[in-house]
Amino acid sequence: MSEEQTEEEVLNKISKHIRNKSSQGNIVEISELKAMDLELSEEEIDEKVEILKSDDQFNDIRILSGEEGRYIFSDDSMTKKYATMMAKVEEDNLKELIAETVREDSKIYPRPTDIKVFKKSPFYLEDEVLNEVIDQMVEEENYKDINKVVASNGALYLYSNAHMEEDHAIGLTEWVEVIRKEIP
Amino acid sequence: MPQYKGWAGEILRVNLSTGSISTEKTAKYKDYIGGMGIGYRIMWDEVPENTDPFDEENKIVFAAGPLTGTGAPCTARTNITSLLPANPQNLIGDSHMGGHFSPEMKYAGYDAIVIEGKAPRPVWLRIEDGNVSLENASKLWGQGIFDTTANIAGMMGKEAQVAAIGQAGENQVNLSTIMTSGNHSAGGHGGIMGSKNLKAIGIVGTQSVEYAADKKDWIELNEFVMSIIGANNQHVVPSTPQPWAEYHDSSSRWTAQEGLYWGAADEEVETGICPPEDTNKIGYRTMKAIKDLGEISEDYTVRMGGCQSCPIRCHSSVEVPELEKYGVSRYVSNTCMGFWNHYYVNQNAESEMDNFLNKTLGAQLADDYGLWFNYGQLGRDLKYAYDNGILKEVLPAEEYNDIPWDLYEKGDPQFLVDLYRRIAYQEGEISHLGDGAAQLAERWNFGEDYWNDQTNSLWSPLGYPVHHANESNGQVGSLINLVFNRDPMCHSHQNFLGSGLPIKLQKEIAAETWGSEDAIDVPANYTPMNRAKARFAKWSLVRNVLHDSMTVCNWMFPMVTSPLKERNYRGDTTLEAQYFSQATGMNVSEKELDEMGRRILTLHRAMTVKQMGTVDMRNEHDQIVDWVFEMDPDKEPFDAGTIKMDRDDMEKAKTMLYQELGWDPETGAPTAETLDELGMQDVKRELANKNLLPYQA
Repeated sequence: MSEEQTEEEVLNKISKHIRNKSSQGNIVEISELKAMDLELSEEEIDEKVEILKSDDQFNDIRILSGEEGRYIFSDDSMTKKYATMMAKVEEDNLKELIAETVREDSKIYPRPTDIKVFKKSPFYLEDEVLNEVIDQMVEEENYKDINKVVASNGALYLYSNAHMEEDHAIGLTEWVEVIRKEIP
Repeated sequence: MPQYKGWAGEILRVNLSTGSISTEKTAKYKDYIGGMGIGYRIMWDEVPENTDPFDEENKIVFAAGPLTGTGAPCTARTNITSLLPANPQNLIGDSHMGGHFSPEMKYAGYDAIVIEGKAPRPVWLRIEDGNVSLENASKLWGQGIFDTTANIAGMMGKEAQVAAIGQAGENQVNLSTIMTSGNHSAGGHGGIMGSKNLKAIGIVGTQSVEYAADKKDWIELNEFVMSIIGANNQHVVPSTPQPWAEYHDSSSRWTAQEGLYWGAADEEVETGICPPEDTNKIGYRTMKAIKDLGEISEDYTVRMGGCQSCPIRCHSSVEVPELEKYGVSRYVSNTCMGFWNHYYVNQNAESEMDNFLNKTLGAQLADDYGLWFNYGQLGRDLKYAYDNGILKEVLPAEEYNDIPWDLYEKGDPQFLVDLYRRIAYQEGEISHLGDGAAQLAERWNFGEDYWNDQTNSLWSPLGYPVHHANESNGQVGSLINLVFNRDPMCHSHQNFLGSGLPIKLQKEIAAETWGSEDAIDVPANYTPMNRAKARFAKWSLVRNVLHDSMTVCNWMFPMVTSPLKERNYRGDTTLEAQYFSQATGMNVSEKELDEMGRRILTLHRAMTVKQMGTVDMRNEHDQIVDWVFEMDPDKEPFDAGTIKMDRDDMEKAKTMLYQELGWDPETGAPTAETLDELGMQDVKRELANKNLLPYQA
């Protein structure tokens, strides 16, 4: 740390960066802080992160552990759920992204998941990539609860049979994809 | 109504037979609020049963309520009441439109305009505050709505608000509209204006609508509503995952998202992320174009538009150069069924572009002719008649061969140019598609399969289709679809069910609002009827008629939910009562206002009883076609994955709803006790004189 830079200034700089990124829909990997022009060692960065976690001035700053890294976000402008999804995108863990989304949809609404959600903001997955991942998932033991269901117009949806019966998923898919759109 | 604010205080009455123009005080209708309530009351008092809709004796009432013109959000609805030509028994009904017409009517000093009689020759009604005159419309007669509107605005000034009919209304097509602002249409009553030789009403109002409340309180209430308002249909979660949102729902009309643009604006406008606290971006939340016209529409969207005093912009304004080859303007605005109707007419279109052109061209043609489609039914009727070879039987061979069926089979948009002209001008037998489903079925001798085929989507033997019925919380939506004399146009229940919130939250809110979480079921996994569902159905109906009487948009109110996590996603069901109280100065509780709604709904029921000449509403009126009970043959009602209903359960549901409304549980007709309780003794006396009160031991 340079002599001119107080600890408060450093913390403000880091928190400002995190808040800006969160407001734009991006999480911050902790290693990214190390690349900032903070003139801090790795150990000092870790110390600052610990202070951010505990200081009331920064009680919107949240730490999230992914499979491969740790991420920071501000819950003033980003939900934990969204940050968790973005961490999976960051780590290219698309199977878990899809599986968790499908399981939650099937459980809490319940509803089958329209795979188009993964093609749009904030994921923007290409058709080829998405289809390949889904095809892999249905073959894997970890995702044996994830099933496909196709609406009469050909749209593909996924559901988790841990939370939803097949008949229900079929009926709801048709309702969401076809019937509801035609009765606006 | 000098002691109360909100209302303009006067009703304008125009007799087209005599040319008499007069005013009367609104005060005597205070118990019926305004809008629909005033309309029903005038029809009850002044139009005898057995009147034909196109008779000189029929009347048509354009009315607004005390909130319209005050600046309260989502309050620019115009309610139109008259007999319904498309109803096979011509029962009473309402149609309504948004836009800017009713606020202008209030600014001119009128809560309602009552049109009676029949002009000897085509006229239009010119209203400039207290200066009211009938003008010669001979040069307007025969014109479409767009030119009529432009011509009247040319004479009155660009600030004029115009409600007009097109050729369909002139020719007394049952399925015709009255339209304002070029794209806000009220379906069902265009032919009534045509039968009276009334082409249009133009209004310029220069006064104001006063509200009773302290200015600070009024602004505070408006700001509160801005804080809990969602997107169109009060959807409170975005359609895609977004940083601020715990939940998302791909069906939500909160479509604003990163990378989604009004692509044909002078400079592209990104809808972007619109968190709830950013109230300046409410107008970006709903990009309805992609919902109604498909993702292809993004590049054609100029902007989103809407009604006076509404922050939600639900009308898509698109620029489609390809339309010019069909001889119409490239600029089209509309929303929902205004576009979808034409998908149903030309269902054979295969490409996304042809579907887009069908919807936009169809809207342009239909809005100019003033054609109504009975919530998409006209197109399904055409398909049924064509697919079953009926058209070959009922149309003269020369006429049949003259219709470009090759275009129809391809779903070519050009087909609409031919078909809509024939219907609007009542050319040939094919034009009877504009009669309405029940009349058409009788004329062309449709079989039972017409009514009982789920794909035809009919709901009632009265000839109207499903409109948020059994697919919307089973018995609740089904009951709501039974009560009126046309499709119910009720969104009180649908907005809540489609809010985008998880079932646990919805059930919690249902328990707080209707007494039990059993008021709602998991979608397509229904449970048998219960009392809470009856309360939910009653509440939805009562709020619906309240909104059409106050006049408030039922596509946004009631606001049962909100997008705010800090409120645990609760909205506020007292808003209507707060607004009514603040606007008028009458101190009315939520419960008291709901009772006023029950009075208006009961008057509608009484009018239906009187017109049908029977108290047996259960068996003569509140009927549902068979497919609702026979769909999904491999499933039983209440199985997961079906919206099939159970006949006995629906009869139980009717009984419970009748009880909740104070109607006779056997027949569904208003009882003497309820009419007394609601202060409708005169209605009771008239029904008693006609022997139309249900017997009660």
